[in-house]
Amino acid sequence: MKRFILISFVLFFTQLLFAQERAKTAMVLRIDTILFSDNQFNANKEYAEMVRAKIAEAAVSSGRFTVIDDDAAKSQIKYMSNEAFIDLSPERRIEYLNNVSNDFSLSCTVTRCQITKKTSGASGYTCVMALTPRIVNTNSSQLEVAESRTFISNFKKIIVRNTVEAAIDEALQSLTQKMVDYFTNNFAVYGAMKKYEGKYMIISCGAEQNVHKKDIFEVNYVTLIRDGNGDFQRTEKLVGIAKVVELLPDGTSRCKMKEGKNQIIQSFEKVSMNSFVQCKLVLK
Amino acid sequence: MRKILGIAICLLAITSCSPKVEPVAHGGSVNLIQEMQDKSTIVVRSLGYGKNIAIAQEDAELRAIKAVLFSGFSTDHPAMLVESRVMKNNAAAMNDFFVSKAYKDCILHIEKVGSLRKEKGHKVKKMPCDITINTNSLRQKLRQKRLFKMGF
Repeated sequence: MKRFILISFVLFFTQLLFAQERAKTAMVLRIDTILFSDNQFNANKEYAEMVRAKIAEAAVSSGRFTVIDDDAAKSQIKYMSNEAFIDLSPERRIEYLNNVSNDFSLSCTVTRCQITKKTSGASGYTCVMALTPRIVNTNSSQLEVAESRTFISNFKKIIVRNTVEAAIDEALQSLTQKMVDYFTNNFAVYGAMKKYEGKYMIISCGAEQNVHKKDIFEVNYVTLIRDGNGDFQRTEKLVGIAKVVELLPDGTSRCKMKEGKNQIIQSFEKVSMNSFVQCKLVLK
Repeated sequence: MRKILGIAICLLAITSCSPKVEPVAHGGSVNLIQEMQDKSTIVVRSLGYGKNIAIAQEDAELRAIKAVLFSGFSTDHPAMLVESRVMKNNAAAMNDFFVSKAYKDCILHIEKVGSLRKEKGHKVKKMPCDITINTNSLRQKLRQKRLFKMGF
């Protein structure tokens, strides 16, 4: 019974979560299933794990995501059904869930994995691979696909490798940069305003999240208000626009307040536990 | 003549050295922005008013402490004292608490989160500060001054 209450409680609080919280810069991505269209590859789990690792590497390199794997998710669920979790204050529980719950879920289909054994010239194996990741926004009630596209490995300059695994790895390696660019260009970064100095403001995201000089951020004043049912209602108001002028060594960025300077400052001065100033990268 | 001059210098010295701890009346806001795990340490964002950074910071500290003492923020952090009752029953001790700046011992950290800027329609400038306060220590100080019990 106690466990049931705990799980219901966790589910209830998960409903209250919001994708972009105060302290969060990168979104949490959970890599779900990796499937090969050709069943002969599904039999060997090692191939799927190679694809999973490469996608995770690309997602992390983009700076847009923090990746959680199945083991981490399992240990989190275990902790959440523990009494230590229920003893936390509601705010702490929400904070914890915000940090660990995934915002996006990725499943991938390897639509093509053509391995050729070379007998003439350099002997060994080559691989041409096509994969289609589907990214679902888990915070959306409709679970619609946020992004999906197909990546094809480099087939013009194929390098012959000694083993099948090495050939697959080579094909995946040629996809990495494409995937990094894909994540960088299609998913925003969020940062909280930390302070201001004259016409400049400091935001909590920077080089680590792949933010560059001259990137533009929307500055929003976010308020979380509890309604009659005890649920949090999130309201967002655009208060200004900021442009990155310098990436600071501590992982933050200095931005120039281009529009709505006074409104940004006024909003920043009245932040509280339930309101904050959030900056969202404008995708090019 | 010398006596008058001496008295004038003394008066000038006393007035210039006396602490100006009363917050200036320009409105302002103090909001709770974070509470630490132990709940006894809180971070509040406070607007301080003054003509220079030092005065504005002092004002922000005082406003933050007054908000913790007399206003409170939530059910978890209610007001510690009832201002009218304390000022009626033990005004001297309360004033001494502010004049001696005993509250400064409870402030763990101050971070200036904005620059000193002029507010439209006002002659003074304002500056936001994030102030970390140890409420346990503050309560202890009030107990020592016999203020904590008296407020309720």
